[in-house]
Amino acid sequence: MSKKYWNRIAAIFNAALDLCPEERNIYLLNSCSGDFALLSEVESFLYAFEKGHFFR
Amino acid sequence: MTSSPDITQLLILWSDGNQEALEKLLPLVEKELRRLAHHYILRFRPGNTLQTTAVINEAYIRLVDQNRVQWQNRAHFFGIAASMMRRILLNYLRDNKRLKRGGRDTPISLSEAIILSPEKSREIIALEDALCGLEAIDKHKMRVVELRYYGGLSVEETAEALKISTITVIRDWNFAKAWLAREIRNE
Repeated sequence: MSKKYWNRIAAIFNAALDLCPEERNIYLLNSCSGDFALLSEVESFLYAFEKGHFFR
Repeated sequence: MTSSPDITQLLILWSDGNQEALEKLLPLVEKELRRLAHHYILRFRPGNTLQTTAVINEAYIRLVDQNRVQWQNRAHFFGIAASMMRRILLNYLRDNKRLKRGGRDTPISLSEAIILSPEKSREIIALEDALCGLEAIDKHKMRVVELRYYGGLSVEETAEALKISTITVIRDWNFAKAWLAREIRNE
């Protein structure tokens, strides 16, 4: 994963965390603008963040 | 309780930007952490994990004169101690693993006094592998995890130790947590 791509995922991830579920979906679709690989990558981070048990 | 005025002075100097003071400080802190970690291991009940934060805290209380320092100095101290404790814990786990496999040609060491629960050992080793992966992609976020997880630093203290804003610490910490959870789940 390139650093640029990594930073982009991080930026979208962090912005999405601040939003409520409805706003989040719209934001994700807009910010990933048709790039479904990027969208699923960001979603996997959000999912792991919410389900991850490692740190509390 | 003993406190060494030299170490307090070195910590203050380094916090003010003196790199020479840091070079003198590192081995002194590491020596105390190793010594204390050994004590903690001896006092363990089987199944417990070495509490890295508790060890650092005790080292800090012993080495640094609390009356002469500010909270920023504490953050800097914990900042250097966190990665040392990560290493000490890991070495200890590796020793433990090696001993369990029966490969030994050295005398019995103190770390044999305690057997860590296999579940906890696996968790820490999985975290370590994931952290090494994180370091390769984004060393900065790895440091945030090190300070928060191994050092037990608050968001504000982490920001001070790394000289970044608290909002950056929060964002890096959240993203790193997600990434680590993803990596550990994938194993």
